[in-house]
Amino acid sequence: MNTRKFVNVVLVAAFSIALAGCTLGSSESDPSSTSSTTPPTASSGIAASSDGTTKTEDKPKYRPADEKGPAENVPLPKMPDEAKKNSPSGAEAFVKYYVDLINYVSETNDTKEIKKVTSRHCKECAISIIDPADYSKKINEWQVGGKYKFTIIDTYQPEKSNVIITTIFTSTPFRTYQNPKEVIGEYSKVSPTYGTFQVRFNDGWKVTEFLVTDNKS
Amino acid sequence: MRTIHALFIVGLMLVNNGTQTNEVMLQPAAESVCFQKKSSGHRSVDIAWALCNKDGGPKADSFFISDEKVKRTNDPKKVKIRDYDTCRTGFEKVAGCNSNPDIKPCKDQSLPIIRQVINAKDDSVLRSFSVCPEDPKTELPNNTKVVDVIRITTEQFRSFPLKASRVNSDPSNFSLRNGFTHFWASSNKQYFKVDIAESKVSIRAIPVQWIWNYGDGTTRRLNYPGEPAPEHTLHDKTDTSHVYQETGKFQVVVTTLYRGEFSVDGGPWEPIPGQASVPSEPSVMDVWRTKKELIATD
Repeated sequence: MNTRKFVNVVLVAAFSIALAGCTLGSSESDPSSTSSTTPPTASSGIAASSDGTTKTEDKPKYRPADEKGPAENVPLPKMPDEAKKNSPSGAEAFVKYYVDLINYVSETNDTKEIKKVTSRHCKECAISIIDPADYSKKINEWQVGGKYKFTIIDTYQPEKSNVIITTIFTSTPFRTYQNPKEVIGEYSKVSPTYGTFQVRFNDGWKVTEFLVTDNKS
Repeated sequence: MRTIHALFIVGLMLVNNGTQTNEVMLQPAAESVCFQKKSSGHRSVDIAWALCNKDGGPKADSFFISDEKVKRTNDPKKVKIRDYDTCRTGFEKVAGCNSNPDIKPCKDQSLPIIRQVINAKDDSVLRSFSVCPEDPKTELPNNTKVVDVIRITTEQFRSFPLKASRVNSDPSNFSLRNGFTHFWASSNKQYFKVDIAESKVSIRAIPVQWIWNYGDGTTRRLNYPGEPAPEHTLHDKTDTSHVYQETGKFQVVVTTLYRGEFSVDGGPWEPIPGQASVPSEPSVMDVWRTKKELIATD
């Protein structure tokens, strides 16, 4: 559904780039540096439970999207306190939260929260993430699969309240549906690709730019 | 993807004046943020197109609003260039350099660096891409200049008088065959100050690895220097001890790898690519053997 254009962006970028540098493999074991937005498992129902307990009885059960219908009761990511601090590590925590929101938007087409933390001057945020989600919502389209995983590889603060964070990201393949069992689009995985977030702090962080590493001209 | 490419069809030409990259120009960015419609019949393209006006601009209900202030500027753009390694020492856990077969090394097998083009006016990132030594210089239009950004190269970093670690041993310069000789290296962060282009630049060298050569054909690479162990005896194995199998005199050398960081006029610390390797003075170990004998006391 929604992030399809993003995927499209990334796919072509991935083809044209000599994908540089290093890799994700070992990062999987380093949760501190990886924002992988663990989706709630079907059994737990509430991944984002703030006290760490699993009170599954009280809350409606999470159901991931499948060919029969969109995801249900997807927990809204909660911004951690660290992500509210105006520091490079605060910016990193914020980007991890933002990645959780990207995955949340992919699952739900609900862009209310991500809009609060995205600058309207961020082109790529709008045309790759937010606009397609809004559009998918309008036409009742949903996505199955297509989970993004971002690993932070570099954090640079050119000035106070302005941090540039480079990530490597991948995504799993996904399909889109408008009616049960009727595949509308089919998209392959995204190979490791560089994505650069610029975040600025003004009474809270916002993403002001998102660049997917392009090829040399 | 077109979007990104359309936005920053950036040509890069790097003129090496001996120290820094200097000339970069940006082609005028394409106005359109939307796809040019192509008769692909591909649904994603169709939907993307549905989000665009006929002229290729985004529809009014797009979340995106272009930044008029930026658009109006026709002045030559000033940009900064920032290069960095994606797999630098101390960062392997985050981005292991050997673990992903999908990432291609450069033709000479070195790993590409990442280069960021940053607008000097407001420190916003314009472009981010990987660079290999074999990449051609790109032909460029006018209008954009690189402002000199103070960088410290690996070569400059290595040229600072970095102090070697000192080899310490217990017992001092003496051991017994088959005993656990405890070694440790003394080393600390080191600081330097230089003036570059009227800016005060601080440099710090941080030891990250110690490579021991025990002089008997054995080497070891450790991520810690070890520490004094006052209670140590030759029966006690330690994290940094070594056993000599033979007697004799052995020259022990510890080579320290430093990574570097620099800060301009009190600004944030930034990594210097690469490392500096500094060997110590050799320290001679005299290894003896023991012989048990019964001695009558009367």
